[in-house]
Amino acid sequence: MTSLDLPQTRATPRVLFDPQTRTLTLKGESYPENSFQFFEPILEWVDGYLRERHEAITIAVDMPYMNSSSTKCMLDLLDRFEDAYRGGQPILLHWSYDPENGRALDLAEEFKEEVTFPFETVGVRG
Amino acid sequence: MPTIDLFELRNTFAMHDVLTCFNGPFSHGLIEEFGVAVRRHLEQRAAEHSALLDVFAVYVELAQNVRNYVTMKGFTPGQPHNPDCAIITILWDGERFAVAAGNVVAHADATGLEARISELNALDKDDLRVRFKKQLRAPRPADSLGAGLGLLDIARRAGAPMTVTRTPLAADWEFFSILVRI
Repeated sequence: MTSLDLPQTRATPRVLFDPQTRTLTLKGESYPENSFQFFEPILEWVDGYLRERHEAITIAVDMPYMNSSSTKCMLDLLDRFEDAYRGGQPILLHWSYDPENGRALDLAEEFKEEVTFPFETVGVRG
Repeated sequence: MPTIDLFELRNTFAMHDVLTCFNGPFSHGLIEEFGVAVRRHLEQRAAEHSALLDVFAVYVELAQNVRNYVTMKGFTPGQPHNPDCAIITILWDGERFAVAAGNVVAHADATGLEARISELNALDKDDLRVRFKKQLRAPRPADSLGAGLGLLDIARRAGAPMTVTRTPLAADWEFFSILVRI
């Protein structure tokens, strides 16, 4: 299994999978020139991982801002975990948001409505 | 010989509540760089955090829309009316922010865009949320570099109907500008 570790840049989040804790972390803002290109290798990695491994996975998201096309990519990502969850794999998502940002919780809730796996929203002051 | 009265230009900016403005060819690196400057300006205005992020988000969507359009059309430097260039500005009248962007657009595209904007202007926030979620599930438009979500996201963050101004240029082209009040 290849590792997944992308550094954070101004317009892209840190994306890291820790095999010890089996946690996929996405941290930082996302508004790259081409969101689909940026997310493609991440989606491929997740597809490969979910094909091979069936243990519990935690997803930790802390993304104060994402542009509209990143939103679409994020849903594609969550859809993969949703399929795995429906196939019996335990999935837990931890979504950190800044409670001072009025729209941040709305965005989390909009994603939450799209999936059935456990989805926790946690207010963390920025 | 080029000449300019910068004081006059500065007064024009002030008269129209221009907080900051970029005019010229757009690259993604520049969208990011100017974005940092935009944020710094906004923070100095100590705006409420969500308003600040809304202004930044509308800036990013408008700038990326322009950038995608220039790429899709294959505009290059030096063409008549400089279609590879855009003007993008953040306005602040002491109470509210607005973001405006303008660039050269083909008539047919401009007409479609204006119709789409009026349609979105007629929707309330709940309708826009439903539309956004529907579009999120829709397949990516084949003729677009984006997800077809940009204008919807802008409309959701707008505090007043978006306004469009169209100025005819030569032949099939016009200067299209959109103003979004936050």
